[in-house]
Amino acid sequence: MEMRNTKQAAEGSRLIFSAIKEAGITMVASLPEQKLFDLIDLVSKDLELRHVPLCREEEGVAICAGSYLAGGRPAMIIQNGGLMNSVNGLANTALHFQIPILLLVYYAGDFGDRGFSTVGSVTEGVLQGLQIRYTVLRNHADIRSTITGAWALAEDSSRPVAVLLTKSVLLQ
Amino acid sequence: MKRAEALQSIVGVIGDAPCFITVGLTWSEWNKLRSTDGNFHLKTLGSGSSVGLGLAAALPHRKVVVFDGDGAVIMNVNGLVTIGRVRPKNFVHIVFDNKIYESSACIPTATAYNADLLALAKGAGITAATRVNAVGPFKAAVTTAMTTDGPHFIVAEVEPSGEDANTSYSRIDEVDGKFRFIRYLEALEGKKLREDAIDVKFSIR
Repeated sequence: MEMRNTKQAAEGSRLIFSAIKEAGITMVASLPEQKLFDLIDLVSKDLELRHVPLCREEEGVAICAGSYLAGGRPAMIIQNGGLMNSVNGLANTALHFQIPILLLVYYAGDFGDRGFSTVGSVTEGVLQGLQIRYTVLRNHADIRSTITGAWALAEDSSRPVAVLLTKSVLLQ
Repeated sequence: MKRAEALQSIVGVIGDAPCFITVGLTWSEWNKLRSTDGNFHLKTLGSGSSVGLGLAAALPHRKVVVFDGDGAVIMNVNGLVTIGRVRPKNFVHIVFDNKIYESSACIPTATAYNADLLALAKGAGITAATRVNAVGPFKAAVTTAMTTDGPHFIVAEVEPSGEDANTSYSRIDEVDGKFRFIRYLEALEGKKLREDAIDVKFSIR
């Protein structure tokens, strides 16, 4: 279903999408966010990727685990508020069973992003508490190496790895 | 009806289908009846239907079974909504409703009060949803689910087992259980599903 007519997707979102494909991701679970619209739109229209639209992010961790058991390479595209919703699933499903997941997380409340400073202020601490390795993506030049490298790290460590996507990198 | 009796009646109907089993006693009851590596015991209450959805979507030619409980379903109601949206034909969701948190001091769940799991499933868009409370109709419902397109949702009303739920964790190393489950799937599929974890083309970068 065409949700809205759009001009061509922002370059940053196109580069992230290309890197997801290059990393070999086979399945993406997502929940909408305005800044993620272009990226999720590209994912939903791709014929090779299996796209599962979520109602709440924690179920996405479990869906990713089910996909992994059948040989899939799963990713989630969510907001950092949704990362908070996922914490029990990340601990007791993904980390406990050692399931690699590429977490692409919109960094609401980042420097220069107004309105969500509280969730922004706790995001990195939650990832540190979960001992999930992460990096913040700010420049287009870093997209390809960061996304493919994050998946390689997830697979090598059998753990979720997070990339925090900033407004500047998604929308420019 | 007792849950163990209900499970015993469907061993042949489930056959070799991969099964996800919720946190609690259902695991040990089912694993005694069908003792294979194709029984995946979950650790996150409510996650069974969603892990099952992920596998069902990845293996659309194969029936995937979830043994769930009332406490689990009401913790992951949104999981039902996603199943009702995606509608995987090969998904069989069996919910034993004993109206208590059996592994958590047998405290009543919301289904002991006003929550209706069948109405929740139908409201989520799962049309092949039914409720049974005796072994005969239960076996018939599961047989239908295993032989026709779904997604199927079966609420089986059962009595509390009255057993000590603390005995329900039989496999300590769940990572080993995960790999056994993958190898079980590979045997069913007749092919390798997971390649070696380290992919040289990334590692040398």
